[in-house]
Amino acid sequence: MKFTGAKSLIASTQPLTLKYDTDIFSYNSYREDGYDDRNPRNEGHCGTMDGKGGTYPAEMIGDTVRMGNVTFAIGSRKVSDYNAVACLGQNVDLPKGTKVLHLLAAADEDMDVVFKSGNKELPLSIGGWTGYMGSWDNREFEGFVAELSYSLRNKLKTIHPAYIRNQRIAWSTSHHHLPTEDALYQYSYLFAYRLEIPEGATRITLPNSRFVRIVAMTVGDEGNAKALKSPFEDLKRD
Amino acid sequence: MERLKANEQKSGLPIDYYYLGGGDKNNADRGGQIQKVNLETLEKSLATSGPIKVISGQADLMFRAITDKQAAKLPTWNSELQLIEHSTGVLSSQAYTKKLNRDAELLADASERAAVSALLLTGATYPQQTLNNAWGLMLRNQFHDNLPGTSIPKVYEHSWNDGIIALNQFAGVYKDAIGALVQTLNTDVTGVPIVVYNLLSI
Repeated sequence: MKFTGAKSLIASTQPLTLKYDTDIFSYNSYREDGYDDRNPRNEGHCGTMDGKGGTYPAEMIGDTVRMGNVTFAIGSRKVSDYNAVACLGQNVDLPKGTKVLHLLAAADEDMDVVFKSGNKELPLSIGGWTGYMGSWDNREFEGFVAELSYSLRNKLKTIHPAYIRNQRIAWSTSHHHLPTEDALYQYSYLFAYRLEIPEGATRITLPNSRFVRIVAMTVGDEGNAKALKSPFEDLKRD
Repeated sequence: MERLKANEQKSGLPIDYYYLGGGDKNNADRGGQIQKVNLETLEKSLATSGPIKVISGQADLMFRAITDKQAAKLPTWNSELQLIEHSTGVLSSQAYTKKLNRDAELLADASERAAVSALLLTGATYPQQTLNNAWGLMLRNQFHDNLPGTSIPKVYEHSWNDGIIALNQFAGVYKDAIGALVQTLNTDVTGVPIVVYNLLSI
């Protein structure tokens, strides 16, 4: 089917080449990648998402992550290769005329940080890379409860209130890696963020928060309008 | 024998039907493979001539063998087809999982329509990978224990999360598509332009 008059209004996006300084991916064959110190680096210990050995499962991601009209380029996941940028207050140069900057990022836990470009402060809440994106009221029981059971005879200890995290997921999978094993059902995520760069600005200053990790940057107006109202409004709690 | 006799009394046909290799007792939850002891019993039953003639075959074999004349005598069941030993009375069990499922179904439909419109009218990328992924998570939650509410509690933590990821992705597709469509509109008007997208097409 063809619509007469249909035309591409979508500008293509352009991935930026980043100066990676952190290794946050590991393959099944070597889950210690990013955590070990068998390849000492001048920069010191620069690996894992949480500094405790947690890495993204490299076998679950490809060379690109697509989200709508934006394409993010993912760096090499080979053993010892760096594939992310730790935010240490450094500057990243932007191509001339950049209007919109897309970030693919995550932090060890939900983190409110401020990027700067031109005279503009660009606050973002970077999502924690693992954990649940949300939950209903969840009951916790006293004493020992076998995981594969109902808690029929244990007294109720507390009810953890429901929540929803609203960062936009660009990529996710249902496990992550620890140095010695798969952390099954310990989900991992990469989130997409969109920043409007002030006219004339030629660079962006990253926040000084080392566990905020940038996996990719892409420039270009993908044709997205201002975000619509969240469809989760009725799930929000006090 | 009792079931065969009861069936004969009700329908005139002394026949019955069993699955082999299914059900929790036969390790269906671990892949549904037939246990050695069941296979041996089956082979023995096929080889001997007892009061019951055993036939091992495909699931539709028995139903196809029933003639129209025989079928005319079958009794009529005019009530619920309830599975009496599984998922009975779970309409209100794990209501939040049911809500997530319904929300995801509605949002899947809305985001699909919006994404196709955006593709056709603006040339926006059709987010097939994201939609497939979100659909996969939604359908996984429709597994016969999850959605009815008969899984163990731990499963629901994962189930909620999968449902919430699916909603997150569908909502993202929806926002992208509407964003692209809105850019085709002339909003150069007096006052503040407001765009309304009616996903119900009414």
